Amino acid sequence: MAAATTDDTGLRKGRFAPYGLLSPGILWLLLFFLVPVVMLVKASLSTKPSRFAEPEFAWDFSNYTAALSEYSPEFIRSFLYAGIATVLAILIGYPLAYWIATCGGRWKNFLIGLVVVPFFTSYLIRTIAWTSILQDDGVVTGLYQLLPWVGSDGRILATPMAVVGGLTYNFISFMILPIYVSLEKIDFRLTEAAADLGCAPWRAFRKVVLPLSLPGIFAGSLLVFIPAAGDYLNARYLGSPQTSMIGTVVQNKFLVQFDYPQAAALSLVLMVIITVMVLVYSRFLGTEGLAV
Amino acid sequence: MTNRVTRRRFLVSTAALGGLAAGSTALAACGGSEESGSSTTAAGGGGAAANTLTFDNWTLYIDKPNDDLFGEGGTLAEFQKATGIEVEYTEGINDNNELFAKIQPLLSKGDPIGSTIIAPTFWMAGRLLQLGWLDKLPLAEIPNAANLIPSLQDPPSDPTGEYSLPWQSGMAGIAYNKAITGRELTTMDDMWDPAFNGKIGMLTEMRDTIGLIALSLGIDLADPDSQDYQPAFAKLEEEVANGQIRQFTGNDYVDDLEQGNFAACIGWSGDVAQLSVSNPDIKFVVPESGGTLWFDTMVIPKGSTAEQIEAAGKFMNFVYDPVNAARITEFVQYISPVQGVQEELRKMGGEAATLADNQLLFPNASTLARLQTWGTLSVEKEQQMDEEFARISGA
Amino acid sequence: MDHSGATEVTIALSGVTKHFGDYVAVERADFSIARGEFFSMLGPSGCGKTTTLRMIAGFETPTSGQILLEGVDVSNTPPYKRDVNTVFQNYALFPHMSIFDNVAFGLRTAKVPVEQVRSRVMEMLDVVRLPDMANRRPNQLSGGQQQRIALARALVNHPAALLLDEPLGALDLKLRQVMQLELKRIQRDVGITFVFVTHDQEEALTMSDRIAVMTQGQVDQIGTPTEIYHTPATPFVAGFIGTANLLPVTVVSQSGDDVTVETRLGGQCTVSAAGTSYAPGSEVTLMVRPERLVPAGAPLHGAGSGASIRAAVTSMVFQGPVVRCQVRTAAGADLVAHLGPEDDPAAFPVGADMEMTWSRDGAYLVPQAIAADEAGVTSMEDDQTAA
Ligand SMILES: Nc1ncnc2c1ncn2[C@@H]1O[C@H](COP(=O)(O)OP(=O)(O)OP(=O)(O)O)[C@@H](O)[C@H]1O
Ligand SMILES: [Mg+2]
Repeated sequence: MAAATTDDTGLRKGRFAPYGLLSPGILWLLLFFLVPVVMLVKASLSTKPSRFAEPEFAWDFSNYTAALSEYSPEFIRSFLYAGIATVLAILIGYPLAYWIATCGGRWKNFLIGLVVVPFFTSYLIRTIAWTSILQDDGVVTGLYQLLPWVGSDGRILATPMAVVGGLTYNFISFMILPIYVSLEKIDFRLTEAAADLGCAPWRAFRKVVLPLSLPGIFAGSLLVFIPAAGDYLNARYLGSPQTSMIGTVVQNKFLVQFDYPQAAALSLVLMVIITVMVLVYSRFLGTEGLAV
Repeated sequence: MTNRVTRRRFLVSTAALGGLAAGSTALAACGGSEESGSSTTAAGGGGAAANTLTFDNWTLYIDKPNDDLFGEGGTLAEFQKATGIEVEYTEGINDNNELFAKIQPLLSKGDPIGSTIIAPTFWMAGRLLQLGWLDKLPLAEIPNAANLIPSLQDPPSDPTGEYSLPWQSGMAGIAYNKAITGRELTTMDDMWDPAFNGKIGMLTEMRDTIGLIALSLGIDLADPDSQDYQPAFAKLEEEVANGQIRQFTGNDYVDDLEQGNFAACIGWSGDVAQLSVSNPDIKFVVPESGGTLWFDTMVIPKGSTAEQIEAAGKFMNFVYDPVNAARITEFVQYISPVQGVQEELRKMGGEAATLADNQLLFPNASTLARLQTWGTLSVEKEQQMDEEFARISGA
Repeated sequence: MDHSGATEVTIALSGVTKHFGDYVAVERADFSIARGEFFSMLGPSGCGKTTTLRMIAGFETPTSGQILLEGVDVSNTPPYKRDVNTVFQNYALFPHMSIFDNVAFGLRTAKVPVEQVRSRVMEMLDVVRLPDMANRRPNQLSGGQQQRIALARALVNHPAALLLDEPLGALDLKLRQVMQLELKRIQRDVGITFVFVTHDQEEALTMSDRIAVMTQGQVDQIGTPTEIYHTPATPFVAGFIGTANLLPVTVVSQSGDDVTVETRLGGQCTVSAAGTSYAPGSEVTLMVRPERLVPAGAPLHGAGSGASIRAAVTSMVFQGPVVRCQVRTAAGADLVAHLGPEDDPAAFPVGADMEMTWSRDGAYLVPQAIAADEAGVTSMEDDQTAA
């Protein structure tokens, strides 16, 4: 790095080259991230003189106070459900990815293909399909009712369990794929090395494989948590009035009530909270040290 | 009224196909999912060709012989044969609010939306009219408008009857699965029977849900600005809080009814008309306290040329001919706003003739007497009610 | 730890066989390794060295036979319960851990107290001469440094035996030579049994106390480097260790230690029987190392009356300390002689006939026959340059 300043003439010509290479990326970011965010911020600080009038920019922070005071249950629910769905996705997805990566053999690509197959169907249809699978008169619910603490009027649909399950199901592929990729990269001779140094299989996994696959878990968690926290379809089709999430509110504010300022404020609050959570999470997992 | 019943059949069958067919994504896209707004309305810039008419309607809301829009003998083909005008027919409407969100930016600036006729539900038509975004119908071209049934003449959403003609109509009442309730239901209070706790569905459509509850509490719908609907909201909130109400749904309540998730719910007559054919346990009743009568309308948003408006008039006249209207009714099975359809169906014989005696398509006088159509809500009142409804329904 | 006595056995294999499906990777391996010994397994690629080592480490289970570690049968004990450590061919350092944590890994697994871990790790980093690298990551080290860390990580646990699978294979020649000495020094310092796998015969010769030469899943010979070099048990061993001129011969007679054999060209010579008795008429192989083959008239290396063979010079290559002289006999066998400084290469132009001689003790009788087309010079070096 120190050398960068020494050879001035050599560098002069290439000084802007890196920026030149970056410019499509920067343009993309500007166009599809910065511009919408600025518009969102502007909208969130606007007021509407009447329902069908255009919002007017007015440094109106009341949208934010309202967002936080009125909709904290929905926020909490969103993060809770998304958090549980993320944990479930790890608990289900990791063993699956591990199994494919270690035992898949020549079926690996086929098995990973199976993980992706649900994506060929629209998200909405996949979710609605679950309402038939989990229907009150269905086999699944019938079996569920056999559980001693459930009873014959127990149901799965229209419960938080169904919403969390739907979120987990809909986004679990986003967990499996990055974990699979990170496991694929691991040299499994390292587990032999750990065994050689006295580790029983479980400890070898915990000390070697798990830490090396953390980047995959991290990426997967973001890919599951972020869309899950903003989701409304699962709450809409699998939930009840008591399970509505912040995405439900935003959708309704935008499309039914035409309250763009409030919807924008809610979206931004969601975005900020998620960003903070991601930063904390990345500290917690110490991702920068994991780059192998 | 969010989605039509036939669309639901379509959804169910694609969902049943499971994830395997990649094509189902495309199908779902053209069926229009709630997450992705179809662009047919806004796109298509004008449809300005001299002998064409653009009409954006709800999904599967017109007869389609052999599943082909312009199939032999279809209304659209017959119309072209009769007038030489080709109809560019699109199915871009999934939801009134979504439709509004799509056309509002254009109409508020005075830009054309690309369709000469659209089919908003009456209250949305009323809103568009109040906002001054509709052109008058060329009634001179539509002598058949005289065939409009009396109950839908000069509705509050269009007091002079100059801006809209109903396309199809239907009732909102109680839909129930007798296999689960074990008894017939007749009143709204039956819905609040503790035996059905967690098995009751409401519609996300505020006017139908609040309308039925309000009627059960003796609150009138015809002149809403003079009424206080707070008791209806309070009742709804109470039933949500005690878990009686399981879910607020759109048209998907039909699945919930069939699958036993709902014992009863607020539903639409047209859905049940079709559903009860395959499942006689599914029944529809207008509660004793009354149900709502809704209708979708044909309106002409501002921005069309005089020729286009004239063509639109010719089309409306065509579908208000009882012969043509009967053909549409046979397919969509809603209440036709055109007088004489019942007789035409009888003449057609066969299955069509049985429809003529279906109470859901041709409600008798005592049923009609119990139906009310919402009057026009002021912007403020509507906003306040929408907010309240969203809060209670968890949206 | 009251083991004493120089011949105490650390590892013993008896009849160890390993099949992979139909393929026999190791067949009836029978040998034992003494405490503190530097034991090498040498053989061409695919002969089963790694498989044998992995069975000792516990990564593979023998199909049949027994492995004893310090007298205990460990044939079915998982690797993490065996008191041996491995230095892997690719080092297998944990990329997500610092060097310190890598070296401390085994101690921590064994729940050694924290203070002890620290001192033992630092001590071991001293032994491998990398005390300053404790905080680095493996990818911040050179290949040779990683190799030493792999060694330290294994040795710090004081295992009963250290297993090394071609630990120097990835290093360049210069570094490899340095590391060979280094390994030897460390082994002397810590006094731990080393089982060292290599396919480099020179490496095996310089470092080992004893060598097991393997081919096609079988152990051909076990012995000290000198024994293996001078008295190879099979023609393969003769050719694999150094360069050997091999001639198919027939035993004519034996009297005492003297065996008289006849070459395919009809010449006869006398060789030491080295304790073996040969039936007249049996087919065996005569081995003469290149440094024992000299031009007629030059002083013979080794005692005893010589024998000679006529051949035509096919090449003469100056190689520094020696001149490599290749000749072809009338029977078509190529022989190689290393001419010393006292010989004048100019006296033997290519194409010229020359007479080569060797002494009775300069030759050795390998008690196995070879085919006629295998006659002549063989060496791993030739194979390698050819490959
Ligand atoms: N897991 C396995 N499955 C099937 N065959 C195997 C397996 N491991 C080794 N082999 C075969 O066993 C034979 C011996 O392999 P091994 O790895 O022991 O050779 P090596 O002597 O270490 O060779 P190199 O010097 O090339 O490392 C080889 O032919 C190899 O193909
Ligand atoms: Mg090997």
